[in-house]
Amino acid sequence: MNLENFGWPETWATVLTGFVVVFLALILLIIIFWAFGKVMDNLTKNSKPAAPAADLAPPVRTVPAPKKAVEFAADGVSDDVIAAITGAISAILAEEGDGKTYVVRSVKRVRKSRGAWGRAGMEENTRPF
Amino acid sequence: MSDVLNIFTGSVTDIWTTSGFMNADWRQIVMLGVACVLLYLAIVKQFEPLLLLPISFGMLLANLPLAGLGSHTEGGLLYYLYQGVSLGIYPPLIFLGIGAMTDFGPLIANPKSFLLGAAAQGGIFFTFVGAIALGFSPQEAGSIAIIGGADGPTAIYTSTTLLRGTGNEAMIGSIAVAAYSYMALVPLIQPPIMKVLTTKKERAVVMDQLRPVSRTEKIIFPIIVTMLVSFLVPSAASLVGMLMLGNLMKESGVVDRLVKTATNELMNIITIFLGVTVGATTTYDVFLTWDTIKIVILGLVAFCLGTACGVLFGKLMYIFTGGKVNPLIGSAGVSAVPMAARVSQKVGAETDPTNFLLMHAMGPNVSGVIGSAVAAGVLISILG
Repeated sequence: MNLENFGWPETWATVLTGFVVVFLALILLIIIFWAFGKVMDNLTKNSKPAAPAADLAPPVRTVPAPKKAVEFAADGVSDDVIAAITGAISAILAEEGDGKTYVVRSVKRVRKSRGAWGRAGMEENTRPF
Repeated sequence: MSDVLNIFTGSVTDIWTTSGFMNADWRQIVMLGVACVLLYLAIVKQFEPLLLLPISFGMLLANLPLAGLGSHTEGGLLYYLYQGVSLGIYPPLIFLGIGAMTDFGPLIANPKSFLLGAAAQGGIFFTFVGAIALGFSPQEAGSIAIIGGADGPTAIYTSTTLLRGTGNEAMIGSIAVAAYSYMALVPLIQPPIMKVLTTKKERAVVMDQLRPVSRTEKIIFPIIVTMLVSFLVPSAASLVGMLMLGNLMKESGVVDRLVKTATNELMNIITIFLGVTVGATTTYDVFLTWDTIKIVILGLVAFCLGTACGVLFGKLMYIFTGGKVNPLIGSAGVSAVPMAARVSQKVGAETDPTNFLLMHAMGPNVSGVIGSAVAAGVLISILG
């Protein structure tokens, strides 16, 4: 474009080009991510037929797990704590979305030689780059 | 004894005559006053303090009489630090940190939000027309218009690229100060426009909950956006590329240490360098001009038009979706992350306190960052 003699036709052409290119870029992104979202939905749905069986099974299979873990509760880990730990683990694994099922077999109290904060600090400072 | 007194008085006289008190221009005093007002806004009112504080102190340093601390005064500390601005290094590095802090999930979940991010760039292009009408050159008009993108690093990057070698580099300071000042004032500027352009019924629309977005989508998003935008507008590649690199680092989950550095140490260092050197470009001889006043007015117009375009496009989407889109999220299409999205939430909550628009508004908000980078690329490729 001739910037020396930049008149009103050039000005409006710049505005038009700007609008068209910005909308074009973002519409292309809409199409790509809309299609990608559909593909992801289909993949999730396709894995669902297996999932119901798996979904139905876990409650049956996971129920004994806490019961088994209750045995450890005798060492001071209460049912509530075991339920909270199991819930947190299943929430994290569900977010990863790989469709696998997990069973919590045991909950053990870690050694109290170093506090959680102390251990986090040590890991932070000794982790290799 | 009299010799000692003579030498003493001579020395004191020399010091006095070479001091700032004897050599200050009244315009420097005015600029020091402006710097103090901006410092007040940053410290007491907490308007964008992370940037406004270094910018205003840079302004103060640049206007100290005889100190020679302006960013364009060769040889000084700020001159060398300013090379990061004039060579276009700092803004993409800021974008790296922004990318590492941004969650594009709401945008991926609702890709239609991209349209609102595109519509809000209308402020840039309409203001370009206004700037040409006021007699600015095409490069100056493009630099001023980009204020409407409500994105500080993009505004600085575009203006430095367009104004390099034109002899008007000093204008960058005025543009940056205007851009950041208006970004800080988003909660005051946007709500009246949003309320005027929407009905109570439209503001009360409760939008459907967004679908969950998988990690795979979040990882692929920055890669695709970088390639597509850079193929279409290569001059936007450095901004978009660094934004998406930061985001990929975050979403990949395998480089936590790099994410920590990009979002904290690196971002903070660059923010200090960028803020203070851009502030130090505002020496009295280039800042106290009619052009600055025009830039301030055009910047405000750009902001208002960007907000209006976003809301009006939101109304269109409200109509075409049968009332499923709340037009208030359109105003978040100007970048200003995340303030603009918070404003949408706040104005929506005034109509219906149980309506939570924040996550819906984050989609157009982060889309606006990409949209303003594309708009900047278009202006650079046409006018650069």
